[in-house]
Amino acid sequence: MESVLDVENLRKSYAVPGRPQFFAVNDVSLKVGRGEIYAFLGPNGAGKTTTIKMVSGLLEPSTGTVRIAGMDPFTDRNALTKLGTVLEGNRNLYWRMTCHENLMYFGVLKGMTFSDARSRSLELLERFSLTAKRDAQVQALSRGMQQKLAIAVALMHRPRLLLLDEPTLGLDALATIEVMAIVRDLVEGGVGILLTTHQLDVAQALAHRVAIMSSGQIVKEARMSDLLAEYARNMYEIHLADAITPDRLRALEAMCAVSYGDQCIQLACDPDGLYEALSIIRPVHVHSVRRHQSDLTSIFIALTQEKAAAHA
Amino acid sequence: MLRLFVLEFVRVLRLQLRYPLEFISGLLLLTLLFYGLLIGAKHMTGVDSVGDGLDGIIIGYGTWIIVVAGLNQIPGDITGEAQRGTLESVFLAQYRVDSIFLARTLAGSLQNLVLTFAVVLLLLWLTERSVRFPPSAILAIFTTIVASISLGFLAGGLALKFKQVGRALVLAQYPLLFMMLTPFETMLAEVTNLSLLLPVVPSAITLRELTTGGKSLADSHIIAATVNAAGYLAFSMFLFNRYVRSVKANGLLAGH
Repeated sequence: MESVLDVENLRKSYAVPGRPQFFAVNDVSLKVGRGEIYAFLGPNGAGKTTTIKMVSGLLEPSTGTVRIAGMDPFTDRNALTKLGTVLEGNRNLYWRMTCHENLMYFGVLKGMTFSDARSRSLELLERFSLTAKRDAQVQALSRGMQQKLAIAVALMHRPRLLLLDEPTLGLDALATIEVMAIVRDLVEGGVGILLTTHQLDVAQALAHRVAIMSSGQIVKEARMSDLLAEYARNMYEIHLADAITPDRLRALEAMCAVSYGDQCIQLACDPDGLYEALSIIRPVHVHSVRRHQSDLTSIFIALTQEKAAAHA
Repeated sequence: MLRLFVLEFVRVLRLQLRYPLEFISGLLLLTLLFYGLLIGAKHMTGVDSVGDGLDGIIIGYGTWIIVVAGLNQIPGDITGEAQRGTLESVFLAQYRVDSIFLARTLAGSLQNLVLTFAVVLLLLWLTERSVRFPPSAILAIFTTIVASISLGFLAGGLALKFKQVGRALVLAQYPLLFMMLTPFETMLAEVTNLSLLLPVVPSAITLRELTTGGKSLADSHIIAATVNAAGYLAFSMFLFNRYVRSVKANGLLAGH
């Protein structure tokens, strides 16, 4: 797959007097292909924003390289013409200007001519169902419309890579669905998307690949389907007919089982471990045993907690 | 660069037309302020303290409005954009950051020039005075604008580095007012020559001599004004770009 973003061994460190050097980002490498959505996830303070800023050329890395469509955003401003950015909170919109004025303004700032920007603006207003709001000031739009406009602004110059930072934050359910549909539509058109969000259900629904970051490092990177399959493989959910006694529960917890209420146990183990767990549960009647379908949220929590514990 | 300038000029014009009350209130405020200063001085001293120098003072006020606007625009833009969250988008443009702010300030200066002319005309009408305005004064106004933009770049660099510079800018207005109103050209030759090294002063002297001194444009004056303005602009843009690199290296673009 043709790559639109190549990040190699990216590091950002800060010198703090009297303390060891602090690495906000430590040895991060990633690739985003054409027509691919790459979810870049992590808890607050993990280093996502620092990485995104380095990718977009807003922050100089201490070491490592960034290439957008083969160009270095720090030495070649043409790289920025291949990059569209939607930063959290519609930070690419002027609130006192109209939708059309914003589109025109940022289009020309990205190197378009006035006539190109005008026709592209009208095209995007139509595509994003904002034509009726063409001359409305941004401050008069709903949050969902503002977000659609922010994405449209980022697409004015037909970028090959789009950085989407929390694109569905604060949106109602319908607007979220609408923005997700727009994102899917964009990748079909060949745009590569680097998505950061704390809404893991959105990431799970959209992303082809996922990287989970913790304490400045990528702790897991995989195709979304592979990641879900990997964690689903050895996760079992046991539903009991009756409540289990506390001593049995303690024995199960020693096997890293997690209980939900009195009658549901989740257990990450191999098949032998499952038999061992069932022997502990015995003679309580088992209602059902099934392989648990992991979601991104449980995987995210498991990975980031593991890393945080190791870090501590 | 021309495309950037047109872009910014259209933006400034549209916002100006959308909010005309801001222009009108600015015009009334500045006119009343300066007229009040003139009347106040007259009443406090009991005599017409400014006498024949009144025309020069009015032109000095006009120059000061241009200079203060030039000084405030870039740091004001940077702080405002950072607080609204759009500064990063400006930094992500295909154009260099200094080019964008230069185009913005030139466009803003044109708008401000209209305001300044209106204030000066109102002051002349209220004080029943008149000044000459030969076409050559346009050159002096242009060097004044360029010199004031150089101060804006210096202040803009400081706004990137130190984030909040509002009070420092208010303080800076007083020495600037002093520099714009002091008739260095009537002092000893050594003082006059030294004053040419100060920012904007050669342009202010040239403008004053052309509009109130009844003199024609001297080559030496306009050369001094041009060299002064271009020198300060080059120096301040160099410093501004260093601050841009510094905030990019240290991740200090936000936090205003």
